[in-house]
Amino acid sequence: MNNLIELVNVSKFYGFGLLGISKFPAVDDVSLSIPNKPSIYVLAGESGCGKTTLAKIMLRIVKPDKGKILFKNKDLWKLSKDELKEFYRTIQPVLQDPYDTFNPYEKLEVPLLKTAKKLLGVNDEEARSIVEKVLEMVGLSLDMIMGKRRDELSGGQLQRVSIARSLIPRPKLLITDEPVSMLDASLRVNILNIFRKLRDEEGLAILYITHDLATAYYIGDYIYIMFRGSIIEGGPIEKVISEPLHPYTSALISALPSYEKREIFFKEKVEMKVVELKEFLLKGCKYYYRCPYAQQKCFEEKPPMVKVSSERFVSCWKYVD
Amino acid sequence: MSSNIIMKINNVSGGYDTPRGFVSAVNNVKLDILQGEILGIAGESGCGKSTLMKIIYGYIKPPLKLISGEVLFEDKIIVPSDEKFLERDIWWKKISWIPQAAQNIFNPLKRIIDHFEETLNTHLHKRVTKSELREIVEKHIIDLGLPKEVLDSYPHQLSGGMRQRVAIALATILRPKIVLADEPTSALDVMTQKVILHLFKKLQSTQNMTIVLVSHDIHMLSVVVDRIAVMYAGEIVEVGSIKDIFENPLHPYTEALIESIPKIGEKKFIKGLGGQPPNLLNPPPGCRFHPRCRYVMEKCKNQEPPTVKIDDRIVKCWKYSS
Repeated sequence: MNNLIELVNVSKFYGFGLLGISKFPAVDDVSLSIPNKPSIYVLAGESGCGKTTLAKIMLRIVKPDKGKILFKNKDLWKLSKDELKEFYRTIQPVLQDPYDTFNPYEKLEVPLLKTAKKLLGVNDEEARSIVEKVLEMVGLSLDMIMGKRRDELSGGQLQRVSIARSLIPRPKLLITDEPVSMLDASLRVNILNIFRKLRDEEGLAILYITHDLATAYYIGDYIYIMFRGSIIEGGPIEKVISEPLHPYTSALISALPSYEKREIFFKEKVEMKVVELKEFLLKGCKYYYRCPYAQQKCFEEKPPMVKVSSERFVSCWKYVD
Repeated sequence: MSSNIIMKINNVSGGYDTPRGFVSAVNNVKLDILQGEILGIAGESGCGKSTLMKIIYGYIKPPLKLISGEVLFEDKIIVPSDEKFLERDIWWKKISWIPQAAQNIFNPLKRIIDHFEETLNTHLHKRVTKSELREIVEKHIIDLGLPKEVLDSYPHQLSGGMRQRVAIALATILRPKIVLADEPTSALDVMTQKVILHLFKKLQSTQNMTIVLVSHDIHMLSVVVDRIAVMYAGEIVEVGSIKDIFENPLHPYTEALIESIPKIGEKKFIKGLGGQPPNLLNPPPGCRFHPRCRYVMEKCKNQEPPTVKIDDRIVKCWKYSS
């Protein structure tokens, strides 16, 4: 299939300890591809699992130490100037904190118009009509933000402007890292609905990176679960959530609190995590210390990615014959 | 759960003096806390829930100002009162406060046991020997299900979740009657969160402590609390049992809040709540929720709604006032 971006055995190491000479893999041998089709892909995991580093690798902010990252079958770090421009037009980020996206001293329409002119090479009038159009997609208009600065809008509105900014070059893929975690609970769903609309009406592919499985379920089509730098399970979101294969995925889902689970919630115990670094440095399966099914083999060797059905895969020795 | 009232919050109002004017962060809050319950206070950022905690605890430092009202603990007025009295007789011993991000309060140069030592020596007003002290602390730590190895660790050697558990152990070492915990799990992963919530359940069932949990996450509260008070824009708009709040919310804000949060396993389109919480420098007249309310009536726009009692529930809305 026609992939927008493809990661092949990508790893990224960060230093730790004295002088940072020892290294641990923040992203460990990840292969992942995002096809060009209107779907929302979720990359889910807890804090420190490497999901943000992976997003930065895909956005060409962080260079992987091992493996390849391909944009339209070409190495992302060896693109020509024109190809790079095409990359920026095709893949756009929406950041977690919209207050980081905009300059506090600048009127909001300035960066929007500038982005349009710079990335698309259009004149003032065309830029205006493009900006008007993308603002409409997120439920705003140019009149509503004209002349206003960053701090004059609420967080929810500013996140809309931030999404509108990313839509200016008519991208095929949005990479968005925790875009609603800053917002109030009652306002989150409004932003999530915009992503749904962009998929359904504009045909965008969206990579939604989050720790929150409930919002992920609400908008996602496919999910990849990350743990300690590795993707450990993936597939259609309904199936992964209703019948998780990896022991970590099951534990994660059962730890999600909800009113319906009130009576049974504390019946299932969870293990407190040991030192994180110890898990990152494990040679075998990184869930070894906490897994109820752990065996000697899990400690010694990293489990392979097993294709369980046409759409589902899991990295666990339980599924290896 | 007996229904004895351990703490009464009577019409408390307070807020912050800022250069731009007075921020009315807590307005006319009336709430009874029952002995032995876990009470959740739910609300979104800026709704005044942390300010309310500070006022209940009596930790009222400028720019925070108490405008009116009082807090009674076991029928005695503790707020407003002299801070020396609170420090000597109330804090840590009777009421403990675990502020937000308490996992980061530890002194990085001291071992965990030293923190316990300091707390005990300051508040017991008598010297205990090192070995006695260690015995008390170890017993407490083990009772709460923590490994006793943490005592000899430095804070940086422990994970965030473990530090949070230690913070809770520290806050409860003197067996207070009430523990006030502000967003105790907001910085933690769901699995660690579950461990922390279990710890609160344990404090309630084994030590008969009364626990007040403040959080923006109503789903998290729903698995652990007995009752919930919902706050909006500085006011408590509804109080009820967890079942009542989730299965039959009375206040339009509670209803919208529960509806607008996606639940795992549901993809059905949710229409979110429109608008945004008001600026408390200049709160809207009448009901503070009226600009966003789907049931808004004429009188909501200029008259503050009364607090109505329906069975053992409380709701502040004109819909229920006859």
